[in-house]
Amino acid sequence: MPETIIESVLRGNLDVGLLVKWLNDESIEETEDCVLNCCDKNEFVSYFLAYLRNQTDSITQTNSTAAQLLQHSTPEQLFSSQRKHHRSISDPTSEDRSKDSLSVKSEKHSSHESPNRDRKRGKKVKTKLFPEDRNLSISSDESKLCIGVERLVLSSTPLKNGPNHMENSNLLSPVTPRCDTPRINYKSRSHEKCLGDFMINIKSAKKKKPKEPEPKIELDLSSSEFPEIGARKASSLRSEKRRIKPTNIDKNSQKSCSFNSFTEFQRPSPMALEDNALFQPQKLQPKEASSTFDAERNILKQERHKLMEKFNILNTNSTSTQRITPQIKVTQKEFEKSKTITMTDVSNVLFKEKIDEIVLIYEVIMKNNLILSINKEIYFLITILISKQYDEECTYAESKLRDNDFEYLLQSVHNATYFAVKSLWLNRFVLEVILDKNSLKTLGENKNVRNFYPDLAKFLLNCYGLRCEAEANQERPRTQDARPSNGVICFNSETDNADNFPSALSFQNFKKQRDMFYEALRWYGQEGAVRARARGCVAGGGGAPDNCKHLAALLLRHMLASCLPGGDGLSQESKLSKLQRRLTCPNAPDPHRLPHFTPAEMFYKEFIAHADGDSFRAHLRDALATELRALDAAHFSLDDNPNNEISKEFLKISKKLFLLAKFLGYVTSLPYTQSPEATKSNMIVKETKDYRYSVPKEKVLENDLYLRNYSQPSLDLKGMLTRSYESGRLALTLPWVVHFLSMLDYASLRTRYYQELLKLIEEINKNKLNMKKNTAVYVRSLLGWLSELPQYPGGRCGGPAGGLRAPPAGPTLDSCDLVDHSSIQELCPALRSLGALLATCRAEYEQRDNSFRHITPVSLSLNHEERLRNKEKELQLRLEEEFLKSQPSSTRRVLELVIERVTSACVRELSATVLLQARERARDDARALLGASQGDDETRLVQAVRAQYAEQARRARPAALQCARRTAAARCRAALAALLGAPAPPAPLAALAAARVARRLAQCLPPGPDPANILCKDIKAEMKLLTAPSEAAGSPGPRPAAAAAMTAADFDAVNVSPSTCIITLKEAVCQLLDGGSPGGLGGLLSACALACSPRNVFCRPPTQRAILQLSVDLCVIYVSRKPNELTDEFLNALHGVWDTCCPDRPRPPPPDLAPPPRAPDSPPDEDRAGAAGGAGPGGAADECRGLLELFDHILCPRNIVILSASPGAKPDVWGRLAAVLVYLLRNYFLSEDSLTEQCLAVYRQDWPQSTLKSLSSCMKSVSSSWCQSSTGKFTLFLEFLAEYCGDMDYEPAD
Amino acid sequence: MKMDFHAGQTKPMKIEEYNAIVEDFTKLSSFTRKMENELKRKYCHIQPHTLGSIISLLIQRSMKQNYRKSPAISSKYQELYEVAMRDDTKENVILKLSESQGISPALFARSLLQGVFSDSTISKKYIKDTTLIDNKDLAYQVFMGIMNDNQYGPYADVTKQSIGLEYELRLERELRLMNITFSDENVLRSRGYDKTPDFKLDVPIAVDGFVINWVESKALFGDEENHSGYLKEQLLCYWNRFGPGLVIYWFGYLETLESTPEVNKMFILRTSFPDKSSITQYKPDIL
Repeated sequence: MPETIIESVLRGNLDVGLLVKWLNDESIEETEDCVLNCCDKNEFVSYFLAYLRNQTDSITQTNSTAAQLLQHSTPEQLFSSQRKHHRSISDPTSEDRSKDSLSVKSEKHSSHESPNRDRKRGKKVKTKLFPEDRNLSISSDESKLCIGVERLVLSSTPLKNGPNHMENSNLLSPVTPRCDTPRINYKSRSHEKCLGDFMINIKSAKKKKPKEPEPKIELDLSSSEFPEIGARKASSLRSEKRRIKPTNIDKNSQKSCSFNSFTEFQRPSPMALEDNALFQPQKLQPKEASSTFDAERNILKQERHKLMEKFNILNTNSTSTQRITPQIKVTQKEFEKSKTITMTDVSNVLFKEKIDEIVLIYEVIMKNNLILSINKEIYFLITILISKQYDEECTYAESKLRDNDFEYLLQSVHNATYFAVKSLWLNRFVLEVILDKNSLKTLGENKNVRNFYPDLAKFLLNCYGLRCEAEANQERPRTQDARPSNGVICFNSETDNADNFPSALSFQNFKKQRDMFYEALRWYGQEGAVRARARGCVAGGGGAPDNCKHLAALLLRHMLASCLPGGDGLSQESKLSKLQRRLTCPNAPDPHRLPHFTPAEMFYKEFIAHADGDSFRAHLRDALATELRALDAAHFSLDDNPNNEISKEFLKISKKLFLLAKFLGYVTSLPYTQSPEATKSNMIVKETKDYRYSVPKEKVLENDLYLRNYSQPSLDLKGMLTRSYESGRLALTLPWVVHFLSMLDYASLRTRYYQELLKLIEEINKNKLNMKKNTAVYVRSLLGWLSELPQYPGGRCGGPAGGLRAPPAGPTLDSCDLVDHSSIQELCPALRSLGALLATCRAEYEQRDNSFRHITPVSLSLNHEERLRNKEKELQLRLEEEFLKSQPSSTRRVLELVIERVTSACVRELSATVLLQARERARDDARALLGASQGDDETRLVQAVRAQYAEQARRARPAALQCARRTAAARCRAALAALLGAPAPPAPLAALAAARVARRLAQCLPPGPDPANILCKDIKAEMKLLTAPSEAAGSPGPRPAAAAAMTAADFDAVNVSPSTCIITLKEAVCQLLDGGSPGGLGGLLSACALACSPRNVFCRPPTQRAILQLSVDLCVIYVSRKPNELTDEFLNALHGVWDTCCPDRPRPPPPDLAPPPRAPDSPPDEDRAGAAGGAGPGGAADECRGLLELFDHILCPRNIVILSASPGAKPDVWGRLAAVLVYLLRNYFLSEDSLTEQCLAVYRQDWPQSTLKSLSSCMKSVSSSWCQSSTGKFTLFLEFLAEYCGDMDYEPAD
Repeated sequence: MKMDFHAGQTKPMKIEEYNAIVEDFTKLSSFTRKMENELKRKYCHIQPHTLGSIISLLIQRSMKQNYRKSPAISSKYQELYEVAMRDDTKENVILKLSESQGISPALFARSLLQGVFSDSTISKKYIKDTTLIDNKDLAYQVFMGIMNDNQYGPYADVTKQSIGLEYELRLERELRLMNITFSDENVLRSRGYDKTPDFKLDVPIAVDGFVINWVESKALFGDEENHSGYLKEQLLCYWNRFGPGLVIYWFGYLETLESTPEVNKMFILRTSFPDKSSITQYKPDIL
């Protein structure tokens, strides 16, 4: 039916206006035309799009770039193509095909001369060999799948893809560019002949000869002048699978090949021979001289013409209409050059009015949103525009057109170009939005556009100019946005500390998990590294739910920080790497057709895939959903923010939402897309892709749907979408829902819930996108992208969704200017394919002209100071960022709030003070001006007044900024202190807030685009009014002064290193033991005293004890080794150390005794005791007692051995020991009781007689020296010991 | 006596020089103080702390290989000791035995005490204070063993602890002098942090253009083995939580550490606290 409508329109039987009415859903009288009433609108649209592509097929296929890039068709097209196939397959010879235009077309192809068509037909006939029901069972979805599968294998070699393409191509629309893929491969195969190929083909050809399905035609063609050509081709195609080491083929050797082997290919069509003919020049060319080549070409031409005529005649019987799609696609460059290409000319356009009608229908379809992907159509139109046609084909098409054969309406390049340019003109407002700056220029400069529709060229170049101007005016983005960060999520003391874990074990486990997560990140890229580490990381939590929760949160935060450009983006490509990529990598066909993960995102994807714990994934799903909900509900201040700010915020949040939605979709679909084998290997990526896009068997799908029809996503998507629509926030919500859906698998999208959701989306798209132009184009682009995905359900999900309430009347998010030209490119990566198409074609064009691609040099300032300043600024920005990252999230939120509110307060204050004064001054000036120039031109006056206001605003700027800084500093400090509470926020936080406020205000103040706006928004109104009040301003307090610090020398003088003292003292002791004479003992002991001083910051009890112990040992050993050198000075030096360590020594009670002598430089003991007592009497005394114990072992067996082993005069040693003991007694380091006990302990041991004697003499000396100050009992006891034990007859056993 | 309390500005050590020290160390016959002093005399141009730390690390590694703590070994040492004590000389018995056993004197003494006194508390007490040992010969020999060992024993332990703390305090002082606010380990622990560097800066600073969030003080020489240990146990963990930082090896480090992948990416290495001129503090007003 749809074909009848178009034919009727072209033949003038149907009024195009009526058709437009019908498409517009306007009422048409039934009697007027029943054709329209009998046809389904969607079916018509599908057919119409297929019709356009069929018409322009011959032209677009000459553009190999476009053919590679343009691989999609709308669902409708696919649907239609698939339908067509069914019909052609089911009954390729049926007469009934005349009723179905698509079938008719295919039949037409088969009956005509076009080699290309012949090939297609050949393929179709091949499908006949398969059971019919197999083809019939293929739904439109399956055909999409084929597209998806084909995309996946596009990068592989043609040899590998060959069979797939052959099969897939049966399911594809012949009009979509995707169909070119096999042809391209076909072409490439033709270049790869080898001897082995021939050998195989000869054999196989002989074997299969009897199975030739259409021998009649074959026989007919076998009489061709170039029998070997077919054989060559057959062999080349045959060689797809069995490929032997390539050998250059001698032309003569090919003669032996049977032409019949051609049938091996199951290409029994007579037209197939023409394809072979096309290959001949390529094969001959390398060996032939140019003259021979031309001669051969002429023969070929003649032969081709003969064949065309022959088949025209043959097919006239079966078809009423004839058509040709002349094209030669599979050629070598030299060959192409030998054909002349038609130069497009507007004067050669035939049947302009008919084309206009087609354009009108096309426009109405697009305007009514009957096409899901408008971008696809624009891509198609641009492809036509940059394609070319050979002269003879064009001439042929024109000749047919002149015979009023409207089947050729768009088959001449002139007509097609006119159609494309006119259609583009009608879609110029979409073009303006979706094309980037360079694409606008390229398209505007396209000669076809300039020749056929100068207005469009003008429009595009004008847009380009405006875009350039806007960019020039725009402030350069801060370096902060492009700077990569260190990619660390700081420990958040609020959410990550021990209190957030149920047990210490759980906390400790998460500590390990966090480190393992980062380890996995660091080792990412190594074979199997992520797999093992991801599993280990999840398992490290011991299966505790809380650990999974924390790990999921960490992953989420990390992902948000590292995957978003401008965050910590690996995705933010540096200029150098961009340039490197441009210069070294070939242009990828299009990386954005399918949802894909960026290199930065791949880590997280693989981590999730390998971390196969249900608990972890459930927690991750929850975390993603929660974050999505929070971001989706983000508040946008629509009133006081300029649109630019909203746009930036919108872009930022949208990017986050896309990322989260993509991963939520991935996690949701993971159970249905990931095979257990995949997790064992590193095939996650491939496997998942395959599963997601693969069509399950019918029964499997049925079972899947039965089981999953009642499952629901973790988010109420329908509810969110509905609420979003009703609150006018669709521009935020719908895109991320699209991203979520794009990640789901084939079966999921067909479950009840998602079918309803898709219905709702379609309903919204069709009628209810109440948005600004750019926003609507953005949303529709994304929806179009979704609809082009292979797993997207075919056909329209149509039907009324209903129940949607209109959004509020006031300003909503959708009503704001959310998306600008640059952000639409960022948010819809699929749009880049347009730019890529244009850029590639431009590059090809420039290469022909021997021009070079321009690389914009990066400007580098030569001013050293400026560079230093920039460096400093950069460093400060990084510091600020790091500082903020290290703050708890609540602090960050408080900070944002404070900055927001203080900025508002400052604006209010400035408006009331500095700016008010400036305004007053400006008004006075304006009054004077107005008074002086009465009767002047108003426009000029307005300009003059505006200039005055601008001047005053500029003058007021420094004062305003100063005032703002003061206010901001005071308010931020107070606000943060109040909101953050104890402990007091660090001063830099307040400073940061104040600085940010100042920066925001500085951006508002001139120099801006219109400085006068600061003082007066409406100059005209101002000129009439000129009155205002005034207020005074306050001032904040001064900044606190920095504290003074001790100098390094002073510090070192007081704070002596105890460790150094220990090392030196120990060394001195050792030297004495070895019989050496360590120097500088006095200085060392003074240093030790300082090291033990409580004023020394390095002093700690263990070091104090070690020093004291060593000093006591030093004393004993000094007595032992240097008895004659033991002076009071040395003892006082020791006293300094001991007294410092034990200031609170217990003293005997009698008050009548004089205080003991002290070291001259030591402070009074009482004072120190008092001081120490004040600090903590109990503790200090205990500590002191502990240290004094060291003196209680001065007469220990070890020391007696040391003293006995003295190499010097023994009486001196023991006499000096007695002096030391008395000194210790006098200075309360040693008590009488302690000495008594030590003596008793010593005498309990067996000693040589000499030692006992020495000890007795020592005791006597102590007794005699100490008796003056003693009570008497102690000395009597010592004397007794000396007498009694001095001559104990003991000889050691050994 | 003039005491050098500062390690001073130390440059990263050349690998050749380090290898020479290691080679000389392997030639030493014992691990006593005297042998160390010989090395110190040979390498007098190297800071004593630096050389001391290198030797300490080398001895520790040797002991890890040669010394095992077990009752059987303690008994064996006790037997050896008793046999040696039957000689008339009785001079430096433990020093000689430790040399013959290839372990450090203090470790030999500790093991010996563990053999003599079955109660480990008592043996620990005695090793800390040899004046408490009743057996006069044992006390003297153990004392001599401990005094001639710079790497093991109570004084070595105290010294090591004290040095670590001392340099942390020096670092703290430097931070305070620069008005750099920080949270130390105790504060971080009280706030429930799982990993605590010596100093977590409240506001990051930049050292020679490298932003740092934390500072770790290491009062020892950084060679490849101990650095890799710290890297795994501490430094990477700090990076995972706080971002890049600064590690100060007060007694120097091997220059090859500079070329490890983590250095200058996750943290920077220094041998002292950076000069004021190379530190950039956050100043919001500049932006």
